[in-house]
Amino acid sequence: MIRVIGVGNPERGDDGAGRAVARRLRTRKPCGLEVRESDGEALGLLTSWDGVDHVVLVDACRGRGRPGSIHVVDPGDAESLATLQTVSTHSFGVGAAVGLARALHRLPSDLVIYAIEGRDFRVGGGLTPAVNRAVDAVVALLVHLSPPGTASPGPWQGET
Amino acid sequence: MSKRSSRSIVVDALARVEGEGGLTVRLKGSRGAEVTLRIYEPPRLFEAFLRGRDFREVPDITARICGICPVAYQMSSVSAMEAVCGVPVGGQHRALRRLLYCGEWIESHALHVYMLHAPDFLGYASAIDMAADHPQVVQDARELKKIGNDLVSVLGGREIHPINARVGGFYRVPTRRELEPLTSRLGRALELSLATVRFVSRLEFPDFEQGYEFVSLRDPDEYPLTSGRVVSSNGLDIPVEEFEDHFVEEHVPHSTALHSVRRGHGAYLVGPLARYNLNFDLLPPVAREAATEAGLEPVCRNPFRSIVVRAVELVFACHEALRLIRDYDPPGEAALSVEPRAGVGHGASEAPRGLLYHRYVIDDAGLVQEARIVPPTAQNQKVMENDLWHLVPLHLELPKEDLTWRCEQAIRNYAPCISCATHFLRLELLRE
Repeated sequence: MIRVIGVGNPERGDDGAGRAVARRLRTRKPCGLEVRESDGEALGLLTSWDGVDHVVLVDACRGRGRPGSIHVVDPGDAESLATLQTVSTHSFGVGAAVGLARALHRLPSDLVIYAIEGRDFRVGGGLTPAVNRAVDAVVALLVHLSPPGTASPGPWQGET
Repeated sequence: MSKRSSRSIVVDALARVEGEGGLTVRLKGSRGAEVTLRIYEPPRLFEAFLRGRDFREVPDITARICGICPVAYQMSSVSAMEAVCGVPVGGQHRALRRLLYCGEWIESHALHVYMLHAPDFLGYASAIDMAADHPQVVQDARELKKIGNDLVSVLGGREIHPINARVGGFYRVPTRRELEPLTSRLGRALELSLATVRFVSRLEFPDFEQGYEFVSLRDPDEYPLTSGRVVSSNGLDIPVEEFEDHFVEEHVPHSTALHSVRRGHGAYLVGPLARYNLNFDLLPPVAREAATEAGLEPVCRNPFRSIVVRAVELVFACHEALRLIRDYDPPGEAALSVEPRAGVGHGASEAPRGLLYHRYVIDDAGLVQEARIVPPTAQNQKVMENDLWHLVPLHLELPKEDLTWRCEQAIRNYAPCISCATHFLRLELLRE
């Protein structure tokens, strides 16, 4: 079983990309995938992947490429993690969750992070067209992840 | 003592606080020349865009002011609306509101005590650094916060920005069976909270006491959450409706949050320290004993010890939640019927960070004509600045980096929620 966690704030424009992936994926009822959503708060994220070995996390990012481009973020690369978008000023984000999980030895043995480059993170906006297409692409990719395999990103990656 | 003619401590962006703010301290010799807590987060304008909205929408709109304490905004606004419409809500509806509030206190206090404040005392820049050496501390924080979140979810419909509270009561009240599974988990949370008090009581605290005026709600029989009179350590004792006769907000150039003062008295402190000092006798024995064992007197004037007081309030919140669940008798109706009535309503409750006051004017149709929201962080701004005035001269021997750290720690004593506090009085005032 692979747990897919869509992260973000659906009310902050493209920051909702990860949550949109989760919601669209859920309608496809993919076999072998368990879908969750998270606002990205670090302690909550730690709990959401507790006891699961294979986790795919999908989040929005900024500063990595063209809007709508899809990236695989190395959980071991702090600089790369820092590009993940945290629009909330209230709590720690995905980078902190990964850091905390590593310190606590609670990082899933197989964690893959997909990041979708956003363009507009303003309050109240929906997904911009390029990000919307990228969300569909990530959903298509995840549907084809075949259980009981791992959550390894596979050969498909790069820009849409 | 330093002979340097001037010295500056500037923190452009405070870490481990909620929202965006900075800090400037300028010294001339050993005296403070300027202390400003700069709150530059953009204004939120909630009071303006509430105008014209239906009075029943207000709890859900104001909940959006904060992701950490949405329940507080719901509770103060429903109280104000029920006051203006003349429908007092008590009994089990009130008990459920207290229970919902306990969940918010648990999640907020666990986050602040462990993840935001404890690293200061243990010498870590962040909770991540702390986790490597103190994994159990972070595990406990995670577990406690999760229990708080789950309590809010069960009563509020979801853990952030809950959607179940309404003017008159709730949209749906839980069955006893729905609440029962929380009992064992809250029992565990109570154990963790007691361990938290022991843990934080062993931290080292700077010797720093100030003669604050403490302000909080006080109920006759219960530690304050959703209601009470506004009382102060200087003898004030007023109904919530008189709040604005005694407390005024002022605009200052360096903050998008209004500063509050008690008329004719000056700065005052709200939050856990104030609640504890003014309501120690109303804490359950288990919380009072934990406080005493942790070395707290019934009155604590050292803001650095607020981390211990928060932990004691965690004990209270878990104990209170257990009591409320044990005594729960589902009300026949989820909510009382509330018809709009033109007038002014005042409401106040104790947010995790302190007293949260709301006032609304509504018309006969129930449309909001005027809204006033006074959040705890705004009220504490002057006290935070005053603390720095008095703290910095005591530590001039410290290297700049350490002194800066101490100043930031002094601000984090208040768990400032800058996002909540930002206001905008009038645009034209800023332009003058």
